[in-house]
Amino acid sequence: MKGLIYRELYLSKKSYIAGFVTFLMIFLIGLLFRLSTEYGNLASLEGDAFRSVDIITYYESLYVPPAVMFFAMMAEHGIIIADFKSKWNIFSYTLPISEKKTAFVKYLILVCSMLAGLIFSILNALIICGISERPFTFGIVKNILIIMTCILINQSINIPLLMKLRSKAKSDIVFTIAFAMLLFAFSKFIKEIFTKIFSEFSDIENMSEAEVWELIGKFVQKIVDFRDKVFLFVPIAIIAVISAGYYASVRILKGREK
Amino acid sequence: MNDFENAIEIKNLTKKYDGFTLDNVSFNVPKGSIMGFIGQNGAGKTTTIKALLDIIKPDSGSINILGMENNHQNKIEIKKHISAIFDEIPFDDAFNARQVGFIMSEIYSEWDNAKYKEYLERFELPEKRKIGQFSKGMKMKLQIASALSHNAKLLIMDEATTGLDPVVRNEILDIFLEYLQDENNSILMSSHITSDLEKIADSVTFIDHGNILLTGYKDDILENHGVIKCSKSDYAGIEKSDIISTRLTDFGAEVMTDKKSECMKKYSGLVMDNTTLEEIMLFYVNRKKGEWQ
Repeated sequence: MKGLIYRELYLSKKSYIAGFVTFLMIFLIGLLFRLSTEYGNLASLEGDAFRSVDIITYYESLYVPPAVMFFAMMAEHGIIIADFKSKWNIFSYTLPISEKKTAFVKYLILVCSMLAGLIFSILNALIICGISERPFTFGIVKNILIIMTCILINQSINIPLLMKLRSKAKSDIVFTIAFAMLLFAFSKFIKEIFTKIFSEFSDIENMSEAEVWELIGKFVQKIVDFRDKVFLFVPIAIIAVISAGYYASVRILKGREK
Repeated sequence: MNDFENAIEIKNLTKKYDGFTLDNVSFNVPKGSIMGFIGQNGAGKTTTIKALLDIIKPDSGSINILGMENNHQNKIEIKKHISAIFDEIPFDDAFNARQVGFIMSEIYSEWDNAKYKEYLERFELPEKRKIGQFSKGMKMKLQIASALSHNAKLLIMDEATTGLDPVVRNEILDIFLEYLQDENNSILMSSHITSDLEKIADSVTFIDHGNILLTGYKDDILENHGVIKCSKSDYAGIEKSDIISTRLTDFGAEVMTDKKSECMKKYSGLVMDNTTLEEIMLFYVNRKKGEWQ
């Protein structure tokens, strides 16, 4: 199994390095924005302008680098397609390794790379919170874990899908359709929250600044409540989706070539 | 592994695709020998080999490899003792020979790294250069080095010498002959380059359109087959039962027979030439036509 793990990691090397460099760049940009907001040019802004910039730069620097990092960890995409091109996938059937081992290696690397991404993401969050003099809360960890889970679900499904479809283009089409459906569902959900909140405020146009921020606060609280409910399912989702992906991969490998 | 007579035993192997059927293919590869598996493109050679190597699932039939039935229980054990060599190296261009050795050493329990390095040195393959920078001949040699470094008892090759220059092909064929010095080793080699197989094969099997046309010891096949060269009027006097097929030319007819010594006596006035595997393949492939040009 060491040989297979080495092979997969070596082929993913460029993808991981590129992803880490991108993460680093976005982290540094986020860091600079935070430093400017706290101590630099952006700190001289006042009122709403400052508040908006502060919120945007804070959340951007907390969550965009982790998202980039987790996406970079999805190196399996490239390897599965590369294996079809080099015909390693055919050759591997002639080797004394079981389908379970082959699939296990892929998911082991996926999980380990996601965990590595998680560590970097939490480090990023600790630094940003430290500079921003804000508490590093469990809520931040929950958000990062939910981002990680979404990408893990994507990749756990993508591995057997790529094995079955044998084409990145076909797999991308399936995911684009699925993503469009999710986006539609999410937009419906946001619209519902907005409708509920706005129903409490009859005259939005004449609201004061304080009332507008109160409205935004309620909206954010609704999202946080929903997030806390979703978070309860994260461990189950991770285990379920990895297990399902693994078993699907084994089944596809056992099905052999046509 | 139990003691066995044939390295490979294939019985009634069938696999159906749209427009092509591998139809009840049966043949054996005796232990300690090299069998040439000959056929034109699309004849069914690769399909047969893929079924042997567990790359595709046959619809019916049985396969025994090295005395073991090729089923779910035995397949991992079988694969420890066989090596597959394809027309293209299945490693990504990013790897070098040393990395290939490391990967394979972790897969095969009987990997012999000293032997692998010996082959690399013998083939003059640089250990640290990426495979992407190798020539086609070098890639094939690397594949062979890797195939011969884990004490495999059976090599199964699919068009392994296709696209190589005659010098490299000769070198590779010599290595296979060396491999066969051990009587426990066997080779199944599919190719449409019949001249290679004439050099080293002990036995041959011809396949066409998914059917086995002929199988047996190469020398016997060459001994039993001949080409009668005659005029068209003399051709009319040859019995149909003695004819595999006939190539008609402007000057006369070339008649392939599988009863060479008998026909030499029967048609003593006619010229009987020795034949080659390539000619045998051509005449058998055109058997249904009877007469062709």
